Amino acid sequence: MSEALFISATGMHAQQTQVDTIANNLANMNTIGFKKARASFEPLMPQGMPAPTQSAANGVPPSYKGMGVAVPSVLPDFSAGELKQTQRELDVAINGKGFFEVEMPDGTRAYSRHGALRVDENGVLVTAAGLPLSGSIQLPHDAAAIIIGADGRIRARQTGVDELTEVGTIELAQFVNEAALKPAGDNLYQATEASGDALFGMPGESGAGTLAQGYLESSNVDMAEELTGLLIAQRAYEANAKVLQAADELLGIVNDLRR
Amino acid sequence: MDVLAIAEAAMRHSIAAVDTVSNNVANAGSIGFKRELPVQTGFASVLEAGANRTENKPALDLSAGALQFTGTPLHFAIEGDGWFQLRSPQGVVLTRDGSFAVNAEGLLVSKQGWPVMLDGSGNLQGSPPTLKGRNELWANGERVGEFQLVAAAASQIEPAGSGVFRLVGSAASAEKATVRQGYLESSNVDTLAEMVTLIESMRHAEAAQRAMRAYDDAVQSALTTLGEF
Repeated sequence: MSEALFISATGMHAQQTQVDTIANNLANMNTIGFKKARASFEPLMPQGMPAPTQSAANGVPPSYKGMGVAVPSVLPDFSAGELKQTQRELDVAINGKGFFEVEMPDGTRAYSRHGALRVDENGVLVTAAGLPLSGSIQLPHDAAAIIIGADGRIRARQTGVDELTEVGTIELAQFVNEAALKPAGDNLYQATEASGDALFGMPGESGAGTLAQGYLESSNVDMAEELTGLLIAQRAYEANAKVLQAADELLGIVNDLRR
Repeated sequence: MDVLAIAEAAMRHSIAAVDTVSNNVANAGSIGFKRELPVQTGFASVLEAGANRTENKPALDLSAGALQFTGTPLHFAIEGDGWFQLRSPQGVVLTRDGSFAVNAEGLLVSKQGWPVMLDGSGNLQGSPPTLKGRNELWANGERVGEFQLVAAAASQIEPAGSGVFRLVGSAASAEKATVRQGYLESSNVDTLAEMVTLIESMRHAEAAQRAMRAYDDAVQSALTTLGEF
């Protein structure tokens, strides 16, 4: 009997996860390059997938019982955010698909769409968090202007020199299944087995987006969508709570049989 | 038949109905979920089976859920009677949940990672697919394949967990179903209907309880009266 109690509890737990996800999306509405996440729900069965039943083969309806709902994954949604003009020389947005690859302090690689770059004390191009872009691009100390082309080529205008000097290129990483990337905090994502390894290419080639200097990508969080989701989650939580209450009352009725 | 046994059966039925309602309400947000209906066994069969009758089994309501727009190219919904077929490790299963992904081999897969059955084996790597015609998938300017949709009635399927169903027997291919890209099918749970069932079940249980008590009272007064002789 107490099944209804536990089933409603799974429902409340799922809605709680939904509210947590929405809260995180809303909190990061103004975070550059942030990608909203979505909780996905799926029905639970007692032991995963039951074996085909004998009775079902005989045309008798099979016996089964749903056991509530589970939230197997909270997946990032990589739809594009709006590009916002900043006019800062080292702000680079990706217009289309792709990620910047950065080198983590422990030597592993991570991927980000946060393109607010800067130069560290050694003249190396790093992200806002201080992680170097892979390929460590060294900018000349006496550069008066940096020009980052849509195709990823970085050129510098050095003081007293008319010609532009090429100093490096920014390659973009793409994934076959980018939805399976693992969020690693700080606007970074890590490759997983399901996402596949990163495929590198020049911006604008083989499906990769182009670079836009002087722009940043806003988050792709849509306030109206999140608030609608919040209202739905709240009401769904309430409905589950009501069922829980009813199941409890039912137990009360059973107990009251004996006065 | 024993009055107490009848009242007990009625209460068991209410309890089973509340279990079903709780599962429906918990899954109101599950994509492609189909609500279950508490099934009442007919009076005649209850009478025949007496107190030993089997438990009530829920039936599936396969009516369509509302389509919700997501704009994601890997989200698909079916309009009309039809199911996506997935190649699971335990054999072919059916689902109405079209939140797909592309795996490392470039195959269209369900969220469990099981390949979606298409009549081609085109590669989806690189660019997002586009849907042409009724259910034809194209990617990178090439035809990837057609969704292999089947039509199956409630009696032909059994739930296999995680929003998938197993086909019992064979099913015809779904000729009238259309696939829509960028949409997902919400669950067909109607919270209002669930709450009505809930209230009904509560009152039903209460009524059965009163009947049981009344019978208990009657027996008690009979015994007392007899004892006075």
